[in-house]
Amino acid sequence: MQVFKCFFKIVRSKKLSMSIYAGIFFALTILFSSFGKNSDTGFQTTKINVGIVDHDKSTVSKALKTFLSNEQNVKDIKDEKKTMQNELFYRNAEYILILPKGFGESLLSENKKAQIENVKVPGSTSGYMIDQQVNKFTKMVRSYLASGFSEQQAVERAENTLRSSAKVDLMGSKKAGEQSNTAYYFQYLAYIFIALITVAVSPVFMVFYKKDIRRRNQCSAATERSRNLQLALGTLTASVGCWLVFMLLAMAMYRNEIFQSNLLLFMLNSVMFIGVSAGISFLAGLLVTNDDALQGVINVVSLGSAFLGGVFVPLEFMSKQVLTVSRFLPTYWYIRSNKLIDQLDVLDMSHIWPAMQGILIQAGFALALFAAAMLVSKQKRTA
Amino acid sequence: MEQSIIEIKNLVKRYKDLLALDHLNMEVRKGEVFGLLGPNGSGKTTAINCILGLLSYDKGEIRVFGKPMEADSYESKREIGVVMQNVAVFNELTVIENIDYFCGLYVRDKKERKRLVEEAVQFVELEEFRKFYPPKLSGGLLRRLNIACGIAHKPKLIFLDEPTVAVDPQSRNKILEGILELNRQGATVVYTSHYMEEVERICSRILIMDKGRPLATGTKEELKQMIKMGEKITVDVSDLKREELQAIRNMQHVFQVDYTDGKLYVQCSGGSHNLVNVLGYLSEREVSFGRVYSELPTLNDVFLEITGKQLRD
Repeated sequence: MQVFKCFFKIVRSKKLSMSIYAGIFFALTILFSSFGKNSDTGFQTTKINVGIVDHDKSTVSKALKTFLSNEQNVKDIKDEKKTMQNELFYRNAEYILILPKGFGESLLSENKKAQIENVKVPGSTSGYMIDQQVNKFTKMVRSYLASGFSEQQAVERAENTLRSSAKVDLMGSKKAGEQSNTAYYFQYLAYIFIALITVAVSPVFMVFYKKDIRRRNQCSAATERSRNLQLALGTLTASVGCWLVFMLLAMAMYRNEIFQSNLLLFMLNSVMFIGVSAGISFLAGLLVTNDDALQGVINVVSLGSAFLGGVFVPLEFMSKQVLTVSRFLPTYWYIRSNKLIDQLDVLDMSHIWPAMQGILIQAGFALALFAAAMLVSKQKRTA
Repeated sequence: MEQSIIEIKNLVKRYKDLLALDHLNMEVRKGEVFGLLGPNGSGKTTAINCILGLLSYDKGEIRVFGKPMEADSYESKREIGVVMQNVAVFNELTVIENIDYFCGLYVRDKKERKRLVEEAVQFVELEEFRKFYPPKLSGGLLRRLNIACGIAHKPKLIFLDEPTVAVDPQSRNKILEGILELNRQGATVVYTSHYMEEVERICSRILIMDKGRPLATGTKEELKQMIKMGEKITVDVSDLKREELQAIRNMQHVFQVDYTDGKLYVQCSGGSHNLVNVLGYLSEREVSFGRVYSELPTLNDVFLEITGKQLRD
């Protein structure tokens, strides 16, 4: 196992570069996950300050006031222009509802339009909401009156109907656009895996395929098959080892939320991507002939694919043209699958399949990269 | 008859239009230090690479240890040590790790390997540099490390392809001494170089080659006997008349005389009193002369006479 041992001695010599990349990864993950994650965990209704000027004092007008009181902060105010302006200016009221005399009567009459006036802060969304509520109440009362109920009955029934609420069970616990910490962590793995595996593994192939070392090995008693197997085993061990370290770190960092039903899918997606990273590093190690050039290639490939593939810039923000290019990168498919897995709440095949497609495409990329690398290595051996 | 370790018959190797080896025939016998001498580009390294199975060839036959040599002749390779022309070591491994790596390609037993690595370190005198990484070593030390990596597993046959290129005289001396020591320990050595002094110093038999063709084979004495020149006399003479020059030319055993820049060059084919005869004639003619040199022919003279050009052209 001389080649295998030598493999890791060369990897060991790159430990400084590797720790720099790992440091960048953790800084990015912590930074982006704290910026990207919304801290809201629940929903709470807010009440709007509504002023009412009731000139009608009818059963309907009183009922409307009661109905609004249940959902908003309602208070009576004087029917004075200056008072109303002050209330709105100081935001003591965001909406002033004026029920003129004859409001109840207009509502009881089928042919008349309900007489309602209002004053509100211009462009206010809350004012629009109160308009909706008032409209809803008047329509409901009219519906009951049209059905033959008395004024009192129509008002009571409208109040009861509008007070009732529907029970809603949410299928997904996540809000649209929100990503879990786990998803953020796995997202940035796309950058670190390529960078780290290339820093560690490419130099090994670069060294072993240098003309002098290659020839020296070729005239030794170790068979070519054995040497290649040991190199493959080294790549596999380094890749799986790197993947395991990052999985354990993820479990340590996000132990409260990582153990969810789709963790296995996150892991499957990332293990496939580490295969892609190993393929890239194998190919880079064969094509690049010196350390400086390799450093350049690592930066271009890891950062380039991270930016174009949606690691640093969400795919939703990218133009159609950029996305067309991105589809030719394995990182795009990894990130796409990562997002789909994060949004999964139901784990059946129909839901998992879109994410699985991305994982299978990555497998295709990995195979293509290894095939290309084998071709280059064969050419180098016979050169 | 001495046992043949390497036998090459009619070996032909082409690189597109270039004929790198032109019907090379060669035999290396057990226990000898066999020198492959030729200028750069003469085909020495190509021949070595073909023998080691690193290069395919167009025609001919190569047998090592009596068996045909192929790229996958791993049993034969187990007994072969190789010291490449370019230093082939890992910059990421220390001196000791490098030797252990290459030794481990031949020897699996850990204890045995440890012993062999230690012996190799001592052999090339790199004890003080065990933990050094190759980029920290000087050119000479690097060459010694390269040798240690090639011979640590105690091979029966060692190829040394120009191991002293760009090496300081002290390290060169150590390397040459080391090669002779390996030979004394029983290893057969194939040594390639374009430095005739080195080949002359350590090789028991020599093959001179040029443009991929073998020109002559034999011991250095045999090679020198193949040429006309037996002695070369140089005399500093300030003035020499045409008739005096002609008289020297007519002396017995003299076959070539030149007089340029105040130096008289006389080449003799044999005989034992050539120098005395030349100096006697000059004294008789009262021609004053200064420094006098008499040299036996070198391999360079052999090469010059066979090819018409200097070995280092």
